[in-house]
Amino acid sequence: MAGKRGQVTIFIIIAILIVLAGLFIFLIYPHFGSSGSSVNKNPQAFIQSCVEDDLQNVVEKISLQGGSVDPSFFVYYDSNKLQYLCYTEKDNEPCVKQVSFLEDHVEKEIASAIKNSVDSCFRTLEEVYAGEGFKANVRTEDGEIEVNLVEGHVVLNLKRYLVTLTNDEGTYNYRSFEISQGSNLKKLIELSFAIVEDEATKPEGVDLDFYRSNNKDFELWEFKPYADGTQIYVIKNKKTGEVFQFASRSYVIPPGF
Amino acid sequence: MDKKSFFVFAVVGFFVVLSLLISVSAQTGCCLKPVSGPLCQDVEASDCQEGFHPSSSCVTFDLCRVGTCIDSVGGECSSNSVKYECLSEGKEWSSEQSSELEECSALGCCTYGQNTAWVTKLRCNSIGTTYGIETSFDSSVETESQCVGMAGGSEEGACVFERDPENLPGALMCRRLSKTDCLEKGERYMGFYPGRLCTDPSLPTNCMPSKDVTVCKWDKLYFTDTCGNRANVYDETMMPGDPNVNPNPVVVKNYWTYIISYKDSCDYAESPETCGNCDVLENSICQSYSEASRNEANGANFERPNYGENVCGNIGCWYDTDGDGRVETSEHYESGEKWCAKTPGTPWPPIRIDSIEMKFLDDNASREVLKEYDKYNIPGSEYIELSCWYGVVYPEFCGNFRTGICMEFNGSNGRKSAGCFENKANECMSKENKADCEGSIFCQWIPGYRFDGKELTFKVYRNQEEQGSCVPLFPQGFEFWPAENSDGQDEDLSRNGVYFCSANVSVAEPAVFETSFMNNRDKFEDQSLETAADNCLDNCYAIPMYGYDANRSFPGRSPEEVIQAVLWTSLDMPDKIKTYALSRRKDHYCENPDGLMGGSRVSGHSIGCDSPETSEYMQMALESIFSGAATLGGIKTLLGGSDVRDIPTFLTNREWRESITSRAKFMGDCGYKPGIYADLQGVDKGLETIEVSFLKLDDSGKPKDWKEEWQKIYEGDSYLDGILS
Repeated sequence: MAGKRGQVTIFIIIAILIVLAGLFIFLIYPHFGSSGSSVNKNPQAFIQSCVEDDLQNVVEKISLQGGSVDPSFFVYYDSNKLQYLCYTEKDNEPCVKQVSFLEDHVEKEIASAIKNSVDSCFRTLEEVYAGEGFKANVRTEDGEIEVNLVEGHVVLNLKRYLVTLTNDEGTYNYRSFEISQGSNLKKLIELSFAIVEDEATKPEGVDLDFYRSNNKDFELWEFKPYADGTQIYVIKNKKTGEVFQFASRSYVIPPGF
Repeated sequence: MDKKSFFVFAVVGFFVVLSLLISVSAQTGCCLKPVSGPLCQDVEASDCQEGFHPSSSCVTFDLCRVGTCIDSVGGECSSNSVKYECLSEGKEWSSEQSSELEECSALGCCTYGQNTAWVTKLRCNSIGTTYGIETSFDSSVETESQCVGMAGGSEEGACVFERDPENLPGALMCRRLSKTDCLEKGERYMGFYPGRLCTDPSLPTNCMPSKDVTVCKWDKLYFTDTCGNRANVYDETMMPGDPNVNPNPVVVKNYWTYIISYKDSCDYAESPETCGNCDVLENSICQSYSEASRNEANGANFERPNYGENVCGNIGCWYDTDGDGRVETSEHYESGEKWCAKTPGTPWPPIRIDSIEMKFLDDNASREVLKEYDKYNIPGSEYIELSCWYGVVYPEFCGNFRTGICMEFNGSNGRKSAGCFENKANECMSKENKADCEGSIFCQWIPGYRFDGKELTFKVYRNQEEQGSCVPLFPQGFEFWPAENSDGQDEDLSRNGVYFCSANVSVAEPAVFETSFMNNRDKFEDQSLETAADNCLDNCYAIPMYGYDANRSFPGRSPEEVIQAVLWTSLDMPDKIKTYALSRRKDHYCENPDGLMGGSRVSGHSIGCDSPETSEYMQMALESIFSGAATLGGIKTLLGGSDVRDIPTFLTNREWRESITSRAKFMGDCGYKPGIYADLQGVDKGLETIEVSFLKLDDSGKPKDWKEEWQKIYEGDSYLDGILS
């Protein structure tokens, strides 16, 4: 009888141990998982995941502000500072472009706006890899960011960002990185550029219906919320919901006689 | 130098240096990039972010010139670009307009490899640079379609190639490609089968019809195969195993063997439920089911497709244009249709025109509607054109200050159409007669005063075709907020917090009437309306209520018709003319043959000029007018040589007030408009007044003693009680 009671006790203890082990694994494992996934031997993936949220925010902000992170000449619309892409203060006259080539301008704006985030991500990379037993050496001083808007993506080429990782298995050198963010900004910019070109050259104004009929995946809106004749253009990708908006003042018909 | 002199010298020197510093710091110059505002502005140095050039004006500064910016790398030109901004971006700049630069404007056919593109020479060069290939630009090709036809190897077919020679030797794959693209597979190329689909059972691949995936291409719905290739236009009757499959197996087999043009595919109009040959002209394009089901135009019971996730969806719009909370059948619009929105202060239903002739479809009705100046085209009102494009309704704002007017017209193929037409209101004032004026749908003729002050009404012929003003039919708006006057100062346009217009629209009109020697002429308020009217000599219409019920005994006639008849013809006058608030000072309307005053004739109650012949003609003329057989203009001919005195511009006070009020109101928001900025009850009625000054005249008609008395007789929207009543 005593033997049977002893067996039961052992079974109970084993059962408790199994339950505790299960609980331990259940509670602790996710932490293993996260630390394991963030530190891998692929700094490219690390930088991509680190930068992409900020990149998305920058792209969104620039899109809502007429292509500039901090517009110097703007009009408020829907709480956003909308950069004038074309402007004249005179009535009945064509506007003067404030930005000659919008795509180039936006690429530079994104590069400038994302620089701090990128540098910060490289410093984080250095810390994280050092904590995981790597001897990590990161140089960002000569780093240069080149932004390319391509069909469906915003691509960041991080040039001369030097990363050296060393552990028992060897030394790994990385000199450049490429970050890609899904975005249809290029098409939005192309449409905007074409509209601004019309604003600057056509006294009869922009034929938005032409653009609507040829770009059925986009919604094109124009508003004149201000008495001075400033025109607001809003272009929206129907599928992704991405929006690009800007201001222009051109060939304004003055009030009265 | 003693201490005192040194102190004085130091103080003077300090202020001299200080003033120099101030003058330098406040110096303006041309700034290429100001801290805020557009490029190239004349500002102070402190307001300049980049490129300050003191003592220069941007108007003449070279880097501020506007021209064309040329991006040779990207192959694009940008018009109206500032030279400074262009050069700082590393581009080339030309002072010429882009339309004048051949490289920017002349399109031609650019050939690169097997492909062609209809682009500018600049763009063509850019393609070569970007892709590192040779290009050639042919400006002699005239059309884009010719250019497209010059591309080689574009016919599509089934391209069979080795999938992965290293890891899967012998495994074949099929893609729907052009021969050119297929040949690019290089060593993996196994064969090209023009005009065939990858589902062709005779091909050495295993691509099968897909029941799960369809694709949209060129607005049409296509089946795909299990290898991911586009097949033919979606047709449910061609899907093997479908309950409605075509009973002829050969037809079905051919459908999945050969590439069939959409022109030879199923007819969407005949079988929209099973055919994916969506037709824009039928208001339908290929779109995802989820997108299409959001469009009310597809109806509430829009069914999912049997295969895949795409459908032919309606691209029309349903829109509650009249804002009654219901969407009626008439409020369905096809993609591309346009119409006018119902907006506060604009006519509803919208004005309809013949857009070719630029005439109202119903001229009289439209003009009558638009004459309601207190209802339509009121301050702040704006016309909006709506259009439907691919299921989305877009507003097109016709412009602040009613610079644009939305009007509807019949589009091609019976489609609804509308447009924002430029309000050509500023052309009206130069038109001097009714025909010219109302030849424009933007103008209307208001009989009464002329802008040039001429009096063209004469004898019994009122000549209202010339005696009047041409004013806008759609009054333009003005800025009612303070504007700078000629002295550069803000004009104070507010009174008691309510803004009003400062335009001087006052009218001065001297009505002359006699008073009885029994009355004290210094007590003007003693004058009753009847007395004043009865003894009126000239411009009687300026007397309040003059002739207000002259038609009392002539049902169906306006007071103006009756007055004309009474005073300028021999129509019998009813008893007690005085009670009609009319003048019977007929002496002043007729001349005797000697040209002296006093040639009137009174016969019973009949009043007329002392010329039986004339009276006879007048009676005839009047009867003709009342019977509709003649116009007033015709009387002039009948009464040639008459000795009747000219008719005044206005016959009654009502006519006078309506004319000047209408004219002022249609001239724009600054015209006379009772309570335009708020309910009249809530504003100072003093903003809207008519005042009258009484001045005694001597027998020769000259002011006597310059004794003048002012009274306000009209305030807000009505006469004041007790004044000439």
